[in-house]
Amino acid sequence: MGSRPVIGGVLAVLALVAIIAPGGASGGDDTSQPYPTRSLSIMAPAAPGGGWDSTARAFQQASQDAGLDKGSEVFNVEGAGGTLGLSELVSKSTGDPYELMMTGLVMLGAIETNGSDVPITRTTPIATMITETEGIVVPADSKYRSLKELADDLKADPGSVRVAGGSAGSTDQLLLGELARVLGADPRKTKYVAHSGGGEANAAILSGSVDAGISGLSEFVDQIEAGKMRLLAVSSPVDVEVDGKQPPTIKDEGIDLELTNWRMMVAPPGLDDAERERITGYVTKVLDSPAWQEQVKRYDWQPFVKTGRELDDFVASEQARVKEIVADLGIGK
Amino acid sequence: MLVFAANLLDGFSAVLSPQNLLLAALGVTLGTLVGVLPGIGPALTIALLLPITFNFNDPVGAFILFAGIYAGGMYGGSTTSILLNTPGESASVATAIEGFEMAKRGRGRAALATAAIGSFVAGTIGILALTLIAEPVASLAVKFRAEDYFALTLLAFASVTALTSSSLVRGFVSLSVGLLIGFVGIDQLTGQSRLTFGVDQLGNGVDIVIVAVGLFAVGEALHMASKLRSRPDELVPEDPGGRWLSKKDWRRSWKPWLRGAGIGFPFGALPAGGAEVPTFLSYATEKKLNPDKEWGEGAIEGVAGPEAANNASFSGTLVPLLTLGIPTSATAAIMLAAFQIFDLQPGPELFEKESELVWTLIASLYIGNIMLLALNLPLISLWVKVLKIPRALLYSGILVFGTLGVYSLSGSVTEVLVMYAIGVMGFFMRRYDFPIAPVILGVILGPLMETQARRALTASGDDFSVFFSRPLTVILLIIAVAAFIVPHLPALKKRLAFGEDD
Amino acid sequence: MIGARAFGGVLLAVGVIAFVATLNVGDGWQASGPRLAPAVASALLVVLSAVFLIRPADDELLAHLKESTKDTHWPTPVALVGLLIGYALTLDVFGYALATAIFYWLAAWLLGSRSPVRDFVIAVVLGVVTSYAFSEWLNVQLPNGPWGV
Repeated sequence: MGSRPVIGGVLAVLALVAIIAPGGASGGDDTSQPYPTRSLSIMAPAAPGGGWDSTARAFQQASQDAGLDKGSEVFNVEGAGGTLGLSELVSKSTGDPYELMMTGLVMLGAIETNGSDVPITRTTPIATMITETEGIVVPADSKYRSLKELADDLKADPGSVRVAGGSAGSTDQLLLGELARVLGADPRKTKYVAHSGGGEANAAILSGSVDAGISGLSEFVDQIEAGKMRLLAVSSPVDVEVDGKQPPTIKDEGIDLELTNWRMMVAPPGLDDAERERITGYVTKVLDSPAWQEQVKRYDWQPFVKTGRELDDFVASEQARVKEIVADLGIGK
Repeated sequence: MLVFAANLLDGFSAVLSPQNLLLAALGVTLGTLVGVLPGIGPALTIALLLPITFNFNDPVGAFILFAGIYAGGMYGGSTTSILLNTPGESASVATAIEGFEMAKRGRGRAALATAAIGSFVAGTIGILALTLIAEPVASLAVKFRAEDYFALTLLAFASVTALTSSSLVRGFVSLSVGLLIGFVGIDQLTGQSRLTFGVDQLGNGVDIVIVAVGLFAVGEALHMASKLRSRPDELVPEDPGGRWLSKKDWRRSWKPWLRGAGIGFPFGALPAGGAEVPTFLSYATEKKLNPDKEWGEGAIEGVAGPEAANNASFSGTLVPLLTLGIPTSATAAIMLAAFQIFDLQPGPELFEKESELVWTLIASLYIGNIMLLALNLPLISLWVKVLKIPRALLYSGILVFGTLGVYSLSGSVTEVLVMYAIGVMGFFMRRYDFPIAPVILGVILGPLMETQARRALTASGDDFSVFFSRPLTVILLIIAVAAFIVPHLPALKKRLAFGEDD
Repeated sequence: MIGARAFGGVLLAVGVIAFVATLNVGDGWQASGPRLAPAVASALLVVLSAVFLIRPADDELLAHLKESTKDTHWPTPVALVGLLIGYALTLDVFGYALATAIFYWLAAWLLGSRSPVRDFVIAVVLGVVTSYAFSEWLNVQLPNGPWGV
């Protein structure tokens, strides 16, 4: 027993030294130096392994490879389509230029669907980074050979086509709603079966319990190439080949609709224009680096960069569009 | 059969290099250390290490590392369940129920050993099943539709009655409390908030780990506090010279190991199966089959079965991942991401195009399993020293540990407070003899059952005939109803009156 | 069994509140809608806790409960709950390390440890080391106090 308090004491002293040492790293930000002057953290407002998480970690890796940062960490705040992460960013990190967050179209849908009281415009948007196109697929033994055949049924009776996809209010459901609206059918009558992830939705499509599936194209590629699913169309132009050919877009199939799942980096509220420009400068530098190009290729993303005024306009128009689709679908509250 | 054996041997020859064995050992150690920490599961650990593997020039090393981390992480989770009553993740919740009771009674060593050996046995069975019957199992599993999952959850519900202790009324009160907790949050199918009472943080629902840590760790600590003045030290010291498992423990463990593996693997192979349901099914099965054992006071069957089920279900999740490219758990999703980084597409063609790699992966899982056993059995004597900590310090530490787990899981104080509130409820439930397990079962099964039923009904346009239109659904429903009624026909009347059969 | 009845009463109240709250969910009772399941679960809780209230236990169980609950020392668990709530509320204010150290030290005392000096050292080491290890090595953000720990 005798030696324990002594060991404990030594440990306590060591621990105190440990906390004082990194203390010097934090503190004020020297604005004469290029951003970042210290380590930054990026929140992925979803579980590890998801789209925001992989984009955040890819960005972290690229930034590190390009030698543009002073260390960074990615952490996850899961839940409610990312709106929990959003409210945490706004409530805890206002005014802190070193707390960034990944977001994107999915969060706009979740904000409208969940009735979250924090709009995306409360944050300081920095830059969009990439898009992922959506795919519309049917099981291999489906009667639908083309998007047009499916659209005809959807137009005649929106409830006759059962569609599986991601969570309620996700890009997948928004696309179905838009498709119905553009065709002149009532989006409210569509039969959308929500799933918690691409894997679950895939299983539902393969089991034959639904007529079609909508999700990020990458979720489907393996199944399409294995001949278990047929790709009817993608939601925006892509420069990748699926199963040896360029997939047709919804527009190519004669329906005037384009929707893509974009992701962007935002900073907390309470930053002035100068600070926003400094962060934007850093993020665009990473996005221009060969290291980032490599990540984009690795994950089959499409690069998509908008910043500054152009970004503000883009976010505002996407927000208005999502609001309208969610209202059309009659989901959430 | 011969082809399989030859393939597996090739796999082993690819894995068995000193460097790979070192990676396996590293992975297992890292996984165990991190798995013991609250709130950090194998999924997050692998996500953190994923960038490191970008630098590996062949994927084999990365898979070996991941397999080791996974095996270690799962084992680390059950260690805290047993020693601290604080399950780190949903798959080890069932283990805590009897495991901590064993530890309190000086049988922590046996509990840890049956968990480790059971994991090894079940892991071995699971890997064998994976190598031999992956393809037929996958083609059957993919036939399951929402209505079939509903029938399957109904079957699992039948086990509730095995979990009630003294009376059906108390058992079902516990169950309905669990169901209500399970329904809190944003509805997955429509995006509407339910039972959140305007609290944003509840939108994500109440995680099963929060419920379990509240009920087990906090409830137990409060219970201990209320008895502080009247009861002597409850913790019985470990027998210092004791072996891991006595002959009697072996005899009592091996059947639950096999049964647990048999329950875990098929559930894991189902795209919406998971590890929670099979661990609880195994717990309930053991309780039903061994009614005369010391349930509630540390029955070793209650640790052996769920731990085996937990491990076998992971081999099961590899079936849809490797054969169909469908990830069914967070860890599987990360592994899929790792596959893609090495430009491998899991899915129907993987076994043909990259068969060498698949067998290497399977062999590395096996190596991870052996390494885990080799490293952790000797460590048991070290782990059980935790129980020598004086009671006041141990329980304070458990509270700190549980709080840290919930906080690092959710990053919000609200969820910590929710966990404490559930702990207070757990204290009163313990005090007035309400069974705890049905609460957990309600939290796990309620939302699962509801979501699947509603998916089926959404697709059918609220037409209930969807539950009777396919033979598979009908057969599962008949089994479920039978499992509910048959054991209780004679006793049902009697049991409705309060607890006369106890 | 006043205590058991009081607990049953609380459960009944929870059931009623939950039932009323679910009535605002969705716009109908269709089986595929979000209202039915939580409404059924809360109704179940209401009915069962009412049954429990009427007759909390039979004679045998009553005797067992009387025995097991007779020597309850209430101040300790009540103080522990207070301590826990205080811990949760100070986490964001004091930072993880300090809040944990204070909580651990007080909880150990409350639960009967009588070596405050030793406990203090353990408490400080526990708080500081965990805080440091989680944020530096594991990328898990624990709250920092005003002094950055």
